Amino acid sequence: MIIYRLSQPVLLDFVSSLYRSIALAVSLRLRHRTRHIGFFISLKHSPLCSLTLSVTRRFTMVRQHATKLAVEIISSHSGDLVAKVCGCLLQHGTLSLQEIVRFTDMMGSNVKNCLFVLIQHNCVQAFSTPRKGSSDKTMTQYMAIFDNIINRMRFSKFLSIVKGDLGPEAEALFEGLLQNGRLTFEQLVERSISKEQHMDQAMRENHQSELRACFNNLVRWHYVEQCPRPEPFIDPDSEDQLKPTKRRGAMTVEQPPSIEQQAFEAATLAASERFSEISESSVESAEDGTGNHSSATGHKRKHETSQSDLDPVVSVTEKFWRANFEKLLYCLKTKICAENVRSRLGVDAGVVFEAIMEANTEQKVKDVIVSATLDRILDQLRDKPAGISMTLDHVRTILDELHCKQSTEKLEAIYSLDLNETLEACQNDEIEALVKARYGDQGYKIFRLLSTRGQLIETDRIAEFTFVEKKEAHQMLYRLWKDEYIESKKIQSQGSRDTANIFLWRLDRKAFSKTVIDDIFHAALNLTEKISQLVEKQHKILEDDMIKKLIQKKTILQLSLLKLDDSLLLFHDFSNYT
Amino acid sequence: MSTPEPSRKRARPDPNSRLATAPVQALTERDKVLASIRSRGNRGIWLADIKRESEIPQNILQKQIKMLLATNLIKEVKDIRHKAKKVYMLSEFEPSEEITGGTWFSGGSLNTEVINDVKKRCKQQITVLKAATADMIWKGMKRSDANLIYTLQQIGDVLEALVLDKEVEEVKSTGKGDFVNVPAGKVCYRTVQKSSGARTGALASIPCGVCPRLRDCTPDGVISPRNCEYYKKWLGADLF
Repeated sequence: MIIYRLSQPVLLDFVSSLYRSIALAVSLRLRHRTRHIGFFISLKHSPLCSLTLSVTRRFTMVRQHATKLAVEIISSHSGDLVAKVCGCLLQHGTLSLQEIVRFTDMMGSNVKNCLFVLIQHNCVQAFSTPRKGSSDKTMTQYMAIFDNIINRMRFSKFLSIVKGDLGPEAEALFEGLLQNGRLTFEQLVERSISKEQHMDQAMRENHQSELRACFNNLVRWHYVEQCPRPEPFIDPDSEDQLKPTKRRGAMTVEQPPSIEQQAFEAATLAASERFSEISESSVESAEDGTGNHSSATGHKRKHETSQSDLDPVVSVTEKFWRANFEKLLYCLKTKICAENVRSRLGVDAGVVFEAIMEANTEQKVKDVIVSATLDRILDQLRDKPAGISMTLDHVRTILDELHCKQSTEKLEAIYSLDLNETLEACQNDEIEALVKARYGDQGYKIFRLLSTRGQLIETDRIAEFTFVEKKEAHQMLYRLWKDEYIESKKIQSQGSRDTANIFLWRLDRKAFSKTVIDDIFHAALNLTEKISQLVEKQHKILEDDMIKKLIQKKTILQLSLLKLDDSLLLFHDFSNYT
Repeated sequence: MSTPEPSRKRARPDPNSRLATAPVQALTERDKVLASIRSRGNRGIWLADIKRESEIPQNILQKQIKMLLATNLIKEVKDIRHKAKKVYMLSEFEPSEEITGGTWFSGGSLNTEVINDVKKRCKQQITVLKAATADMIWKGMKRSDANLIYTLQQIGDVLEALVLDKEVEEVKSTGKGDFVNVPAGKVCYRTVQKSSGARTGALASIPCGVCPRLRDCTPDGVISPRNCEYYKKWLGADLF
C-alpha cells in the first residue's frame, strides 16, 4: 500500500523518482520477504521532503518473534557467537562473509567458524553468484534455512518416529546424524564402534555390516538423505532465471523465483541420488581414501570456478548424510491428522487414514491432496494389526466417510483425499480452545458461527443465531476484531430520516492464521526463555529439594513446548497459509 | 338597557366559556396522540414519533401520555432493538415479535432459562433417537408434551445453537448404524463423540495463550517472560 500525502505538488516528480529508487533498493535487500511492505511518504510538514519507511506491524512482529525463537534455539544448542551469526542472516537475509563480518562486528575467523557449525547442522546453505564486474569470478553467499532451525526443537519427536518404525538400532544411528548434523557413513560407524570398548576386528566387521543394513533401511524409508550440493552456482541475471513462468491455461503470471529459491532448488539432488543406498564396495573404497569419484558416491559437486570462503570443510568428495526433515514432518502430519480423524470418525477411520497417507507416493509435507491406489492402501492396512481384519466393504465405507474421491487410471482404482478438511478440523480444535479460554463461552459461540459460515454476517443476526444479547454480542465482536481474529465491514443503511451504520463481521482464515502463528511463535519464545531461566537458576541452587522442584517445573515447560510445537506444525509447517 | 363599555384591560376569560372549551382542546390532543399510537398497531410507536406526527409540545404530550397510561388506554412496552427508547401501543394489542424479540425474550432480555430448558429437551430427544433430523426431534418433543408451543423453525434455531456450543453435531446420514432411522443423505443431528484422542489447545493451556498483555511482552521489556506474574502463579512463586 503506497500513500502519498502531498502539500507541494511541485515535488511530486522528484518524490516519485526517489520512491522508485528506494523501493528498488529495499526490494533487493528484502527480496525474500517482500510481503506487506509499505512506504509512507509524507511531504505535509516539511519543505524538504521527509521520508518514512514503514513496514506493517503484522509482518515485522511475525518475523520478530520467529527470528528470536530461532536465535534462542541456536544459542542454547551452539552458543552465543553462532547464534549471533545466525540472527544476522535471519534478520538481513542472504549475505556474503564480508557483509556478515561488517554487520556482526566479529572477527572474520570467528564468523567462518560459526558458519562451519551452521552449515554442518544444515541451518545455512551456501551458494555462489558471479562477482560484480567479473564474469569468471564468483562470490559465496550464505542464507539461513529458518525451517531447519525450528526443526531442531523436534528432535525427540523425530527419534521416536524412527524408533517406532525401525527399532532402537536405527534410532541410535539416526541420533548420530541429528547430533552432528551431517556425517559420512564411515563417521557414523566410527561413532558407533567408539562406544563399544571391547571389539576385535571380526566383531567390528560384523558390526559394520549390521550398521550398513540398518543405515540402508533408514535411507530406504527416506528418513535419511544425502546432503544437498554444498555450493551451487546461481546466476541471477541469466535469462532463464528471471523469466516469469506462465502455466498453460493459467490467468496469472507467476513471479520468478527468488535467488534463495533458485539456490535451494539447485542444491537439491535428484531423488535417485538423495536416497541411493550404500554398498559394501563403496564403503571400502571410501575407507581406503580412494573414493570412486566417477560413481554417484563421490563425485565432486562444487562449481569449478567457485572461490568459497570455507574451502577446507565444504569441499566434499565423500557422501555426506543427514536427516530428511521433509519425510519426518510428513510422518508427524500423518500422526496428528490421524489422531483427529480417530477422534471424529472412530478408530478404524484413523487406521485407514494412516494407510492412505503411507501409501501416497509423493510424500510432501505441504501437499494437501494425497492419493493412492486401492491395492497400495490395502497393502498398508495389512501391515497394521488394526487393519488386517478389515473387509474390503468396510474399507470402502470408511473411504467414503473420509470423502475420498475415486478415479480410475490404467484399470486401477485411485482414491484421492483432500487433507484440508482434516487440517482445518485440527486447527479449529486448537483455535477454539484458545478462544474459549480467552473470551469465554459467548466468544466461543460467535467465533464458531463465523468460522462455520465463512461469510459476512450482521451483528443482529449473530446475536440471534448464538442466543447472545445484542449489546454483549457487539462488545465480543469488537474484542475479537481488536485482537485481529475477525475482520469488520461497516455499511451505511439509508433510512427514512437518518442513516444508520450496520456492522458486518467475517472470519478470514488466512488473516487469523497469521495472528495465531505470531502468537504461537511468541509463546514458544517465552517458554524457551523461561526454560533458560530455570537452567540458570539450577546452576545456582544447592538444595536437593529445590533442584528436584526445578527439574519438575522444567519438564512441565519442556512438555508444554513440545505440545505447542504441534500447533506450530499445524499452522506453520503443514498449512499453505505461510 | 345600556351596552357595557369596552374595557381597556384584557378581557378576562369567561369562566363558562373556559369550562366549555377546555375539554374540547384536551380531547383533540388526546385523540391525536391516540390516533398516532393506534396507527402503528402492534409494532408500537416511539415518543419522538408521536411528537412529530401530532405536533404537540413535549410537556403537553408527556401529560397526555401519563393520562392515557393512567386510564389503561395505552401501555408502554420494551423494544429489544432499542432499549433506551420508550415505545407505546394500545392496551388491547399484543406486542409484535419484532419488538419483544420473540419466544426467547421476556421483559426485553433473553430468557436463558427457557432457552436452556429447550436445549435440554432437544438433547434428550437426540440421545433417545441417536441421530435425528430437526423434524424428528420436534415431533418427539410434541409426543412427550402435547402443549408444546415451539414451532419447527424455533426448534431448528435451538439445534443450530447446540451445534455452535459443540454439544451436538450436524452430519449427513449414511443410513447405516446410528443413522438407520434417517434416510441416507439427509442432514441430521447427533451427540458429539468426545474421544480421548481429540486435541486440547496447546496455546490455551499455557499462560501466554490467555495473557491480555502478550502483544506488549518482549524478552528484555518491562513485561517479559522472566518476570511474568502469570508464569509465577502457574509454576509457583518460590522458584522465581
